[in-house]
Amino acid sequence: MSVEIVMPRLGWTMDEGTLVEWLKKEGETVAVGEILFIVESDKAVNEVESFDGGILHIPDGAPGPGATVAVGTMLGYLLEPGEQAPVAAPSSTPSDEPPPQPALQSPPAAAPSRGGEPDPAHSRSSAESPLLKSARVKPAISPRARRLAGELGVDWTQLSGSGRSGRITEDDVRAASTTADSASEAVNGSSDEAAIERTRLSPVRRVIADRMSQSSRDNATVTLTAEIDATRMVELRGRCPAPKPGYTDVFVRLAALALADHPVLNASLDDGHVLLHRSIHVGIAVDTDAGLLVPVIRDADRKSLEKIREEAAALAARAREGQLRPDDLRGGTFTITNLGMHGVDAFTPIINPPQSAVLGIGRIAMRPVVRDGQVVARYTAILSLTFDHRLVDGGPAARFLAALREAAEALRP
Amino acid sequence: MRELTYTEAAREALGAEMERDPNIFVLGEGIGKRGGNFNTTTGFFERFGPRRLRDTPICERGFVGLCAGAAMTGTRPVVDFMFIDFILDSFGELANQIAKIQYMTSGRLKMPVVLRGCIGAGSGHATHHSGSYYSIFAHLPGFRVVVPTTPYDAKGLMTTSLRSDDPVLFLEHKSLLNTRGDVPEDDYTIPFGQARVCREGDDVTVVALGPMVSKTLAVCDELAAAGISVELIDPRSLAPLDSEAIFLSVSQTGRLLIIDEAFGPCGIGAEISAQIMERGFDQLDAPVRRLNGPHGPTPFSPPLESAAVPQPEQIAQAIRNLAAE
Amino acid sequence: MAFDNEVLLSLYRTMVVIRRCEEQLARSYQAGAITGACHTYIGQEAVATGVCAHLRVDDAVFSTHRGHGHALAKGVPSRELIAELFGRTTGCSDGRGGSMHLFAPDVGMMGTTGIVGPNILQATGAGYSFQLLETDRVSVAFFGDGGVGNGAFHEGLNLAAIWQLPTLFVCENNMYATEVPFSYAARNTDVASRAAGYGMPGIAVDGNDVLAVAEAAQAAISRARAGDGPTLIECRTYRTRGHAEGMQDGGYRTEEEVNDWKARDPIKAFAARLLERDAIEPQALEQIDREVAGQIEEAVEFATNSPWPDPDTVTDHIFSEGG
Repeated sequence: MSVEIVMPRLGWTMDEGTLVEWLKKEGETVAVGEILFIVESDKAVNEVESFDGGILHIPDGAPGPGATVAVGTMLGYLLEPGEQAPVAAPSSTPSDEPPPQPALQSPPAAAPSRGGEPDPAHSRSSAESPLLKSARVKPAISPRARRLAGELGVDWTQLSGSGRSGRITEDDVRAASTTADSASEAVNGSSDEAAIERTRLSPVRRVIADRMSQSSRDNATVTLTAEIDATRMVELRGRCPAPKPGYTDVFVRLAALALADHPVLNASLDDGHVLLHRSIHVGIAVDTDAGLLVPVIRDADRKSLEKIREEAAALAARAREGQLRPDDLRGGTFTITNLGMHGVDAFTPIINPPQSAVLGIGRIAMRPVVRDGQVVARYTAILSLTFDHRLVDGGPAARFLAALREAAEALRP
Repeated sequence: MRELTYTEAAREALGAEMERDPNIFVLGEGIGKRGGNFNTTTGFFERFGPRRLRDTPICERGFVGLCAGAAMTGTRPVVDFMFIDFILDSFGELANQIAKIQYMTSGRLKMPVVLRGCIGAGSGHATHHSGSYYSIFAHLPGFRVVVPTTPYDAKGLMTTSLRSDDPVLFLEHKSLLNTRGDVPEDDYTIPFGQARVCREGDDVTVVALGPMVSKTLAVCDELAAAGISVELIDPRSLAPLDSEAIFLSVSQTGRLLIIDEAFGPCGIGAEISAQIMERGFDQLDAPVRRLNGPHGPTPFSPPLESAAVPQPEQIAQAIRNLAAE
Repeated sequence: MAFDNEVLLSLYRTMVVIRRCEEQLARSYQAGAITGACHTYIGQEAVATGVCAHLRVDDAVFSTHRGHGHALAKGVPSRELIAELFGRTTGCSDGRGGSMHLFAPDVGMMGTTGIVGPNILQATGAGYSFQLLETDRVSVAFFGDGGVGNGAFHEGLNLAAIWQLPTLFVCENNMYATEVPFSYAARNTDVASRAAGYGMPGIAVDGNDVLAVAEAAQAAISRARAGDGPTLIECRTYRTRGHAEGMQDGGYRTEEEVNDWKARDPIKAFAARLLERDAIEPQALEQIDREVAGQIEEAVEFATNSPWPDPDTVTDHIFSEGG
């Protein structure tokens, strides 16, 4: 019958030892009392005698010379002649797992918990055996850390957690991600921590990130562009008394009126249903220090240009001061974003879910245009309409854009 | 800006609103010539007369039931319970009548009743004068429940309460009554359901109620020195609850501790915890924790009473524990 | 005190409306058109009719779980009452209340209640408002003998008395709280006598005599309007149907007792009096009977054809705004 050879305890305080070398070889016969191997403990180097006799068998995967293992770890077997080595896994635990934590077994010294805060040490010790064992099989991870691991592409099942009871936390995932990044950067020879400023996503930024990635993941987007003659719009605005409406305000009104005739652009998809919104609530993208915000003009099709100007100005001011109320941001059915003031001519705006379309407005500028065979200077702008092709086909979207252009060109000051 | 005590701030709001609206009247025991056990109506009897400052017999059910009928017919009662524990004698009139009448009449009748009283342990009044009870009312549809913690909030929320057409519980913790703070002279309102972020931080969100706010603030620096940055939120109103503010904070920190002197089971902390778990499960980096007073009556003797309320060292420990989760 | 014929006929009509309505509701209950509680007022019609005869639209009535009669007498149209019990959106409480939560504040019907007692306090509170607002409006609490043992009776009457509020406390003593005899629930069954304990006038009248009720109410209302404070009126009466539709009515009272009270039917007694003492033609009463029958028929049709409430409104109006 085979005899297991284990890392021996050679002193009161010895928990682990290092196998220095075997003094017998695989298959060699060992007699009782022979020196079998040498172990280095925290105190000394020791020659270990064999208690038993037999043929030495060192299985594949057993700790080899140089390995530091816990007391009790299997190192090999002594077999009788003709005996097969046992196939059962070694019974003892490898030492790279945490030893039992003494701290868990005695109550904490001070920390009074008489208030209703559940005493973590106490509750854990009562549940220790089965729960902790299963947790070792698959590490516990916080919901936040699991979400982040998915976002950063970190295989969390390979991490060890720093949280109490070994839970993997956000910091563990970030650390793993950073290690991986810097490792790959090191390969590329471009790692420079000082060159990176690392800040947490603000709540606003987080919402934007979620919504934009949702939009690009879920929507089948197509962007149409069309150039419009904005001369009349420029004239109209020029004649408005101060405070003058912005071009965005004018487009809010024109788009709202056009949406009334093209309801499929004022719609959303909801779990297999198309929701055509009876109300037309137009969101206006506002650039703020905190990030992009989209306050909403409600029932824009029923408001005068002056009223829209007034509300949009108030919303934009509140947005920049961080004073928007939740209601200011809710319920938009269509969005307008204007980058013309930054000199952008045309772009591909991203839909604000669950809406079905977004209108981007480019720079209004004097450009050469052919009229009746003559090149003349006119104010023009390029409109970019992104729509969700799951819900809207190209034809209806193009007709909406054409209607918008006609309305803009037919404006009467 | 001038400083007022918490009580003075709330009283200033009540006086200004009574000047503004002749239909407001106050009922309670000792609130007339005596000016209220807690000086809630000092000087008002002379200003507004006996019909608007009405001392009552000791019959909470009776005068709270009366308030329902008064509110249904166009006046705006304020009940000053003195100690909020007395409200329990009128519970049926509140839960079954005052909370439901707007609904049962489809809004044809309004229910502008302000129910104010002092809550909390710490003043040696023992168990019949030390309760909080706000969770009971936050559980019921139809009530607004506010627990202001600063003189500024006391004035603003009192004004909002008096202008609301809904029944409002305005709960004043006894340990806060003499605290001082800046209060504008003009009138102003603070909307229901708007929390206040008292201190910004990155590691742990603490939602604290009433005097737990200042007790938590007192340990934040020490914790910061130990590397734990606390974001402290005072919800100010429990119904409606600004779960948005708490959610946004937890989105930053990933950790939430709710500190409340009142009972834990079925309490406001349990509700906050559930809402954050439902809405922000993927934001949580650790279990939500609560720190409450023990689930028992409030005893008298100072060492016992103090053991019935979370103290700063327990608060600090609870925050450290959560940071290490 | 004399009432002219027009007033007498209108009292008669109100009582007949209540009776026919209640009979119809009992039928509809049995036919399954009404769920939940349905407490009829048959036998007690003279009380609501007599008290409300002198109330203005802006006076406020706070009623009980047995409140159909009070609602009708205060001016709630029978179609809105029946539609409410049918659970329809055209009911006086938009279908939210049913039998025990009838609200029509536009006619001063400030609610019936499923809890015994609170309406006594609410009427006291309305009295407080009317005094504070310096109006001559009055409020009325109806309650049964079962309400007299409740703390709200004591607290409400005491508050109304110390502050001299313009409130009538009308006890409809029908001798049973569900099945518990008042003689069991009270050592002193003389409700009117309790007024003295609060320092207010108390009067007991035959609750099956509409004119006796009306006269007592008129005096009390005048006193209240003049600022002379509250009155307790005890109307001794009887319900001749069970406590609620669908409930067994045996075991706690004898058939003889029920039959005795049926023989004292307030409507029949009043009709006989009108024909004999006031020289009213039988045709006038027959015409009222016919008109009321048609009105109830139309009301049932209206209720049956009315829409159900929109489930999306289930949480509307919990708060005055937002919420």
